[in-house]
Amino acid sequence: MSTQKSNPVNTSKNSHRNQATLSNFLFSIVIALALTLMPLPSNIEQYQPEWLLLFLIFWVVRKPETYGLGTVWILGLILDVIRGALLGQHALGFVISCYLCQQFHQRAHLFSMPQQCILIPLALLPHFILSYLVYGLLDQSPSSWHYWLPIVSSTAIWPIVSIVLGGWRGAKTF
Amino acid sequence: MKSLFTLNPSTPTRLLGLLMVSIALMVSDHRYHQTHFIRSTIGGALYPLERLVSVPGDISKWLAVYFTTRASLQSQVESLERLNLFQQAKLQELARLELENNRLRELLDSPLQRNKNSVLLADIIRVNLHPFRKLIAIDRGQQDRVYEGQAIVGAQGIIGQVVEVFPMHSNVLLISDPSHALLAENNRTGLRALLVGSGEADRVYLQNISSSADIQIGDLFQTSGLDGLYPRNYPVARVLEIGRVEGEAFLSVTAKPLAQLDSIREVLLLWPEQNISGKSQPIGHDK
Repeated sequence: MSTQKSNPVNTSKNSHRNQATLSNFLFSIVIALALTLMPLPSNIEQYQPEWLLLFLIFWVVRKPETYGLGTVWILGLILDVIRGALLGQHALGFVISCYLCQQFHQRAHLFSMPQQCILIPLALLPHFILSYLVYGLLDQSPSSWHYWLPIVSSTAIWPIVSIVLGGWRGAKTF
Repeated sequence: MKSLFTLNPSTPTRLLGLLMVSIALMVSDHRYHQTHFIRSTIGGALYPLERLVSVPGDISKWLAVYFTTRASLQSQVESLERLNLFQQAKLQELARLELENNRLRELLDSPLQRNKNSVLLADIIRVNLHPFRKLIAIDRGQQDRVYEGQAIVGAQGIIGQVVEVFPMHSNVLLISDPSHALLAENNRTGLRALLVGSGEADRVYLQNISSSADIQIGDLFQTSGLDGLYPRNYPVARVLEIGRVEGEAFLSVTAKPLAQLDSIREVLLLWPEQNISGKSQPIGHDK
């Protein structure tokens, strides 16, 4: 509190920047939701990356002090409604995947792109495994191996997502 | 500057808390269906975005219609006219049959009358909501009196049932979903069997048919009306192949749904109304 009072100029500048990242965050999440909702031909459908989780991993590593597990959980819940899945199913996997990334965020900041491309599938895996288990409990286990395809496509699209959003270290536009 | 969601040292605690909440939510959703409010709120809020995203597709569809050539339109009109004539003729026959049927029922003092169903046309706004479940979204919801468990039919046959209702739209589970089952009957012999989805759009399985049953390839199965979900006598599927395994008590029968489940654009919502009992309330709304 005391630092805030003593240095009002710095604070207002800071809060301005925070507002900018907040609007960037909200905008990118709306884009992720739109990409998830986008109707696709059924032969491409199965390659659809897990957009929302990918974007959330980006933000959780980029600004771990701002975007915590609560945000992740709520967006997971929204995906549950979109997919018509059990409420909490995606939220559960999202929270665990993002928690792992959050724990890693300091090291992840230093990762080069190839290293990031190894980290991403490992981060996505817990979500897909948990979701698979929940389907199994409901007696709806996915019959084909295509269930795991989004991990590959998400990893492939990761460099683009990361660069467009400005990279984990925030060196560029955002 | 402290922000609202500060990362405090209790993150593992928070993780644990969120995991517990998720699991509690899943159980309550699965077992007690007490989460309708959350679903309809989020679903309703997402509806504008959903429509917005489907705009490019709608425009391309409209352009395709707009730029259709005159010749192809003409041939289409011609074939539709021919089809219309054909169906008019059939309709006359149907009207005669209906009269005759009613007279016979009156003679027999049967309390069962042919159901008069009211219908509503709905557009499909999204298919494949979920990669491994056969769910579609239609543009009719609470405001059109859609209810959970309502039957959906297409031009050729039964398509599925409504599983979730939002203010402006609703989700439909197709008969090809593995978790979907309905009680069908063979319209040749009256044999009843459970019709279960396979996960693929062009086949369903017929279960619990004993190996001595009278069933042939090409038999038509229709809804029996005994499952409390679907109205009676709507065609569902035609038998494709019959597998007999030595020593097994039941046949493994595969059938092909009559409705083109992977290429439907418009569907009909059915409100069954039974004339005789005077009940016009939609049935099946037990959740």
